[in-house]
Order: sequence, then structure tokens, then C-alpha cells
Amino acid sequence: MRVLFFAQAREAAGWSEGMLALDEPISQAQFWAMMTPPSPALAALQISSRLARNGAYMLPGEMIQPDDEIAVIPPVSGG
Amino acid sequence: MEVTIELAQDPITRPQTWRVPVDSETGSLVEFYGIVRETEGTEKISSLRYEAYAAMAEKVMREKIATLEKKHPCRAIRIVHRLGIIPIGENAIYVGIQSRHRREGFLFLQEFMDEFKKDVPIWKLR
Repeated sequence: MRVLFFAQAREAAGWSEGMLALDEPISQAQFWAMMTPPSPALAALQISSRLARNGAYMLPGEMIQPDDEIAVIPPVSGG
Repeated sequence: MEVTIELAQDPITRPQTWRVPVDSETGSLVEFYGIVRETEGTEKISSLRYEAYAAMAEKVMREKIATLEKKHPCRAIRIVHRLGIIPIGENAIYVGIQSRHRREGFLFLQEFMDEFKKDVPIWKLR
């Protein structure tokens, strides 16, 4: 799984991009459980952030596959 | 509908020059420039920095356009969003919409910008 962090999520996580090996599909809750312990600031952003899987916002219940690109999308503010 | 999307570091000039009218049935051009203000919230700033998840941003914009086109058929749209550091007074975004009549152009622009602000993965940072 390739993981991308943007904007406030990148600042909170302290990194912008990385690879994490997965043996099997995981849920979105499992993804957050993997990401937030090393970064309490990211945990605070979880409630307002969305996950995108391969460039599309994830739907509730949608699973993450080992070869996916997952982006953590904090509230957007373009325009 | 002809769609052009650019995400670039270069300044967005005023006025934008593109193919207007896009065809002989175009009777309206509606344009919007989003400009960086001096105040962000309550804080005075000299510039903002924009970043994007570019591939997804373009994909989301195209999906929004495809949906809105069914409600408000238009003939062409051009979107330019500047990334990187943008000083106050300069443009962060340009959206131009060509249509047969003004009504669908105004509606398309209003609804597109509302959707853009909700879902397009672009961020402004101080």
C-alpha cells in the first residue's frame, strides 16, 4: 500500500509519502489504527479527514487492498 | 462539452485568453477569478500557498463537470488553478464557461464552485 498525506495531514503525520506492506485487505478503521498511534496530531484530524483510494473518495465499508494508493485528505480549501 | 483543466505554478493572467467563442452556437461567456485577499480569517497575510493532489483533483473536477453538464448543458469550460505561493491580489483560480445562453452558464459556474469547494483535493496553507 502506498500512503500519501496532504496539507495539514502531512504536517500532522510528519511525512508525505511512504509504502506499507499489507498481507491482506484492511478496513478504513484498521488503516487509521495503524496510522494514528505514532501521530496524536493525525488522530485529531481523523474526524475531519477523508480517505481516497486510487484517486477516489472511499465509501463506507470499502476495503483497502495491498496494492492500493491511499491518500489522507484533510478538509479541502481550494479555489 | 470541451473541458480544459490546468494546475500550474504560473501566475493566472487577467484577462485569460482562450478560444472564445468555442463554436458558432456559443452566446455567453461567464468568468470567475478567485483572488487572494489580504485577510485570511482574522489574520493579515502577504500570500497563501496552495497544494494539490493533482491527479485526483483533475479526476474529481471532470466528474463534477460531467454531472453538472446534464443539468445545465454548456459548450466549454476552462479551469486554471495556480499552485505554490500566491501573493495577495493575484488569482488563485480562473473558471470560464461558454454556453448558448447566460442562464446555464451562471448556474453551472455557481454549482461547480460549490462542489469544487467541497470535494476537489486542493488546499490553501498559510
